[in-house]
Amino acid sequence: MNGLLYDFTHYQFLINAVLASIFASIILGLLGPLIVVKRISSICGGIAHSALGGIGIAVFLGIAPLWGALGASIAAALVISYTKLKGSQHEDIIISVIWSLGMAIGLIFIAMTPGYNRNIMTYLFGNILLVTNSEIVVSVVLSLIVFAAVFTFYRQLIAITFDEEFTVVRRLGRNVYFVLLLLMVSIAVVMLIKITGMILVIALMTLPSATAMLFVDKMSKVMFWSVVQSLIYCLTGLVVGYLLNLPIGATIIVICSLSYFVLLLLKKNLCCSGNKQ
Amino acid sequence: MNNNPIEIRELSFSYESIPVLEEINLVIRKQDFMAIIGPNGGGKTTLIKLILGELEPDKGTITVFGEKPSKVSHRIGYVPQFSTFNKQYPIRVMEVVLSGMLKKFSLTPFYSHEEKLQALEMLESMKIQHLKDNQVSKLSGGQMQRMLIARAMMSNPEILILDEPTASVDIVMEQDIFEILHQLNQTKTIIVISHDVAFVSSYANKVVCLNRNLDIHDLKDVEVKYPNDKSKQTQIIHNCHL
Ligand SMILES: Nc1ncnc2c1ncn2[C@@H]1O[C@H](COP(=O)(O)OP(=O)(O)OP(=O)(O)O)[C@@H](O)[C@H]1O
Ligand SMILES: [Mg+2]
Repeated sequence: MNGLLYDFTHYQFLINAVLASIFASIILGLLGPLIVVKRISSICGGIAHSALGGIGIAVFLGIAPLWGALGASIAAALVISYTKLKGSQHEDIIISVIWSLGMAIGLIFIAMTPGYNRNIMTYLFGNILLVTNSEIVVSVVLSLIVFAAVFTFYRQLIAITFDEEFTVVRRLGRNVYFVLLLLMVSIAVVMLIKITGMILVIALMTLPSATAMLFVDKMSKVMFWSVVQSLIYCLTGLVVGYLLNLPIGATIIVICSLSYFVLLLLKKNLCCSGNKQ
Repeated sequence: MNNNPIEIRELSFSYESIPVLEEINLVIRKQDFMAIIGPNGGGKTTLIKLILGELEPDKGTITVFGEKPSKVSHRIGYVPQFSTFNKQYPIRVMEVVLSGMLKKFSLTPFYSHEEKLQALEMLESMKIQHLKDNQVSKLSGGQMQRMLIARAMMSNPEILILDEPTASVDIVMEQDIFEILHQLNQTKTIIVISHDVAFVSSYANKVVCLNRNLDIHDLKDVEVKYPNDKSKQTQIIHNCHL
């Protein structure tokens, strides 16, 4: 135990991993609930996977992959917003195209970059132990931006995720807030690539919120408990994965899913015994 | 400039070349209590969406408060036929009603104390104040309807449009809702879509029948034509209902 504490306070890569978990959890906990209630997790999947395209191009051009990921996921968010807000019939197709085209472009550019093939696993499945100091700085800034935006426009974000038609009729800026939401998702995706990778990111975005919604009936509380849960899952996943030498992103997802099912069962039993009385 | 809240001139509309509304002319005056009746698929909801600026006419014009509908839709209180929201959403009745006062931009995530008092008052007038802390999933159809009317009323709109507000409620509740609308009509213009001709004819001052084309039956006209003949009056309205 002491050894563990020593490791986590003395090795920069472990300190960074903890910091990355904290800031990612804040973003996850704030955005996840909005994504779940608005039922746009496939849109988020599309945005997440498109990031690989940006990473491939950035690697090929010798730019930091993080910026490539951010650029590509923002572009994907804008294209999807446009399609969705136009009310296009082809929304589903566009999302799948972005999803796979992004990955395809990424794979091609990575293949064209000598000596980069092995690192691709990092982006697909994450590696929280490789988070750099500058990436921490970026995630602090990004999570502050997301926090400020969600706090300031909390009521408007609730309104568009609750009843979109109402916000159109009331002229509450449905388009603006929808684009804002997807842009924040792009930011979240970029921050999470290092932690869980783009393939697992959706699970970590949706499961804590779905779990919280089993127990509380107010959005602000759902957000609070999602942040808390994300933090618990990320940190326990980090410690367990580190101790047992398992891939950390995958460990986090397993813990998170287990917790969802356990709490779901618990809630079912609690409510049933409550009914009997 | 004119003072009529809504003016519709020679309006036609079709969804992908299937005509739904043809040559509609309709003027809604201040303080009207107008009922729209007509068969399923007659175009009632479509007409409302045109008035709200959610759809654009193919031909003809609509003005609301003398302006293009999409510019002024926020001055209309609207209670939709099918609420499109997610019933499992973690939101309570009070918050839904408060959202009726929400502005496009604001710098705080909180509603003011006055706004909350106003919402409570509104809940009281809809007789659902005891439900204020219920999650929306725990409401009955009629309670949901009342909540939506309360939300629509929060911005104190000049026009209130309700698309089949009594479709999922019992007779007592229906009577209740029409009484509430009658009260609101003291200060507001009301448009209500309903299939219940009996209720409509005792509350509305105008009944409009919509089945692709539009017929107006100013109830007063009908009464002048057939004084003392209540069954004839209802029959006219019924005919149009087919
Ligand atoms: N989004 C749409 N796309 C294509 N056609 C539509 C659309 N919405 C409605 N329609 C068609 O337009 C016609 C009028 O529909 P509308 O919803 O206005 O009828 P309504 O009078 O409100 O009927 P109800 O009493 O059933 O509510 C119907 O024939 C319907 O099939
Ligand atoms: Mg209808």
